[in-house]
Amino acid sequence: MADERLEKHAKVYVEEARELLAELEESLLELEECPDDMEVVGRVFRAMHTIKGSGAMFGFEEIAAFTHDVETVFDLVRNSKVEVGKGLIDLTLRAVDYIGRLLLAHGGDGFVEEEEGDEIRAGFRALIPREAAVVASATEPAEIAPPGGGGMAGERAPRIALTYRIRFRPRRDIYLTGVAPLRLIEELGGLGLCWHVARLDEIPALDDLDPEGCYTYWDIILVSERDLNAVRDVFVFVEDTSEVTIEIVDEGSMYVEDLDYKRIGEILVERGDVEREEILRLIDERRPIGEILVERGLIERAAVESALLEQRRIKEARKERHEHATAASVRVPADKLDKLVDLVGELVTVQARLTQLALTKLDGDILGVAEMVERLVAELHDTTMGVRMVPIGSMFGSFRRLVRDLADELGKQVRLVTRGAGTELDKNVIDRLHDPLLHLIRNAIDHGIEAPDTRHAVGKPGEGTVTLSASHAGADVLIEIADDGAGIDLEAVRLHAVEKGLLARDARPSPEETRGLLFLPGFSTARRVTGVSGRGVGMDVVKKGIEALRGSIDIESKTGQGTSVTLRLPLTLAIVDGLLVRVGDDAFIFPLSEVLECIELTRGMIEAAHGRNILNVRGEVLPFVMLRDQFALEGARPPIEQVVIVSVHGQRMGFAVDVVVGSYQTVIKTLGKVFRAARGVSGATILGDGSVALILDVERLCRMAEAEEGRNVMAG
Amino acid sequence: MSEKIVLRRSGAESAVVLSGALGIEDAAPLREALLAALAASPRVAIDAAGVVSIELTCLQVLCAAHRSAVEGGRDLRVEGCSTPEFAASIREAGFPSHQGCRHNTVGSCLWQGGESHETEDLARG
Repeated sequence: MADERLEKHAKVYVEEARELLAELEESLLELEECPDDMEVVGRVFRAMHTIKGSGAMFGFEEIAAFTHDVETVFDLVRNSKVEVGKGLIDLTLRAVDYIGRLLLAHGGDGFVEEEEGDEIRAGFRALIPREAAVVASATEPAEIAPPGGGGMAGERAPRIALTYRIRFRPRRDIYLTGVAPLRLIEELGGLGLCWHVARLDEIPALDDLDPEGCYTYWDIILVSERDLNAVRDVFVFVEDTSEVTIEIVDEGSMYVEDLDYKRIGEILVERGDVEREEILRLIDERRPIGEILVERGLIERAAVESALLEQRRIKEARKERHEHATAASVRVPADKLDKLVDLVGELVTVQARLTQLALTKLDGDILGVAEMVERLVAELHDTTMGVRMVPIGSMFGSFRRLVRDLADELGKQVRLVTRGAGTELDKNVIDRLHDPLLHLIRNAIDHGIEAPDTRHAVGKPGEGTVTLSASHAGADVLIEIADDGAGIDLEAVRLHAVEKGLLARDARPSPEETRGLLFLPGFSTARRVTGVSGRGVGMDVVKKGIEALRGSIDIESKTGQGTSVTLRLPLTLAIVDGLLVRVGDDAFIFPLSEVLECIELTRGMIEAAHGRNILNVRGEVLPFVMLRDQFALEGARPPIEQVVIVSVHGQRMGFAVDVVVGSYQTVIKTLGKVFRAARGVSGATILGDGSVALILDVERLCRMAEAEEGRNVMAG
Repeated sequence: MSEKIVLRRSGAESAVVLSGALGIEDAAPLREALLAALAASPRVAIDAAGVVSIELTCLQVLCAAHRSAVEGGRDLRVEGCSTPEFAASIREAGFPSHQGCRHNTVGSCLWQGGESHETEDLARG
């Protein structure tokens, strides 16, 4: 049981660590651009700290040990004892990769070469200056970052931080006992975040002063995850003779109703600095009570300052916790989400049946309920789809690293500019978009951006730019990968296609057709193989990937100015706008995006074609397929049929059906294993009456028809 | 008197020049020097620019001197206490570096030059 729980935690850790590594990579690249940005340094430090801390907790000792040195160095960077340079960034990026491999290896996936780990660690240790090693271990309370900046919650999330109010009034002759009071306060600083205010009101005039006596006492606010005993322990040697009061003033509960804290007067009374009656007597004056008390000489300023400090710290801590609690997100495995979407899809179809039933029964009560269910289901559906939407920026980040590494490898200077990182897309689309995008960016850097010398020669800046942008366009998302490189050399493409036997020697294709050649299988202009590109993946694979997402791809290029590739993708894969048709008793759905128009098919038109499946549409010859024949369906053809005209890759084709029912928003269901071999069908959906409609794979059907036609011609 | 604490007495304004690291053993000599200075002249300037660090007991002496000066109607100033070293010592001791004690009737605290790391207007109630 315990093992099981640990394993579950380990899973969560791996997932979290992966995210942290991705974030880290992004932060590091950001840091490379602005090495002085302490906020980014803090982010890197905290990420490393969390990876290390949680790693140790969940049994990833090797990760904890490895990360330790990295964390130490970034702590030094944070304290301006080590400078950020390319060397450090390179080394840390290597460390990030290595930790990633350690994570994989821990799950029994892949392996790590320990020598590499040792080498990286040695690299980090070499960065730690000798004297800094000592400085780093000493705690200096005044230098501990305040909450917010330091982010207690972020660093050590699982535990609850308590806020202590401590008054430490050392005995007058404490120095004679060999205890320095400030050392004790320093020790408190080691327990957490500590602020102290010295109270000086007991210091006498010079004549009465024993120069070696201690007249000062302190009000201390300590925010710590340690319990009361740990705090008491600090004062263990002085508590008999010195006055030490320790109170917990904030329990660190996540759910404080009231973000506000006690008023200053209240704190002062609690501390015994002033009498309650005094406060009540003064309170009606319309000025801050602290000011009044000080002005009247009833209290010293330090008392008010100290109370203020307590008030502010607790308010801050509560606010931070509150924000943390409200901004909290729940991690849900993707498959649960898929299941949810699936169920909502079912619900949509059942609801449609209910509405239909209510309409046929003509029962007002049922109709009312059906309408209400319809509204709720629509809302539920929208919400569920929204949950799956992820900003594309999460993927953009990972490309920064690719651009940096590839540019280094090719001796080019490339800057990646991203736009529209907040554009949201279905998580499934994003996951499957990664590889095509990766390839397109590689292409842009490898084939598009020129070497710095070449660029200078044509009057361009040495650094090339690859722009990755995303935007919404109706129900689609447009993603553009643009570079300011040399553009596509159309003549070279033509010659290459001829060489590869993809084009007739004397063919003179238009620029558009030439660019189309890039998408042909087996076309690859890479003359040399680089480490990152040239893996035998051509644009044809990219195109297939995009089309599998029901998207399209388009290339534009201007010689000398650059190339831009635009991907158009649907927001979600789970739903498709379809055109519902019937052939006999069977229902089919055409994806609406591929449908151009519908026309009637009369006996006369069939006779005019002399039995061949060809139509004359406004003077243009259009081949069509009888869907009835294609799927070998029974039943007689009606006197007037309908032809659905679709466009696939710019080619038009018709499909004859019995009836066109109308447009229909379809929740896509994948076909079971048994039907996976069925050609010409991409999925299925359940209609309002509970019957199943098949979603047609139009492209496949067209190819099948063309092949059939070819066979007929050969045979004929 | 150690060389860390140098007293320059004069009729109109005396000066106490501090330098180096002032520890608990310097508290007594410092008190003596300030007593002498305050007895000698109506204005006393403490020059702390050369201080590397100053221990709590010495800070208490300075506070006490300020107290005596205010009570005796004398003018006591600390100059050069805004150096990072001096400011660090004040901060470490948790002295309210910018507001001063209740004897501070003239509106200027002894530590006024210090870094105001917790500055805020006196509370709303």
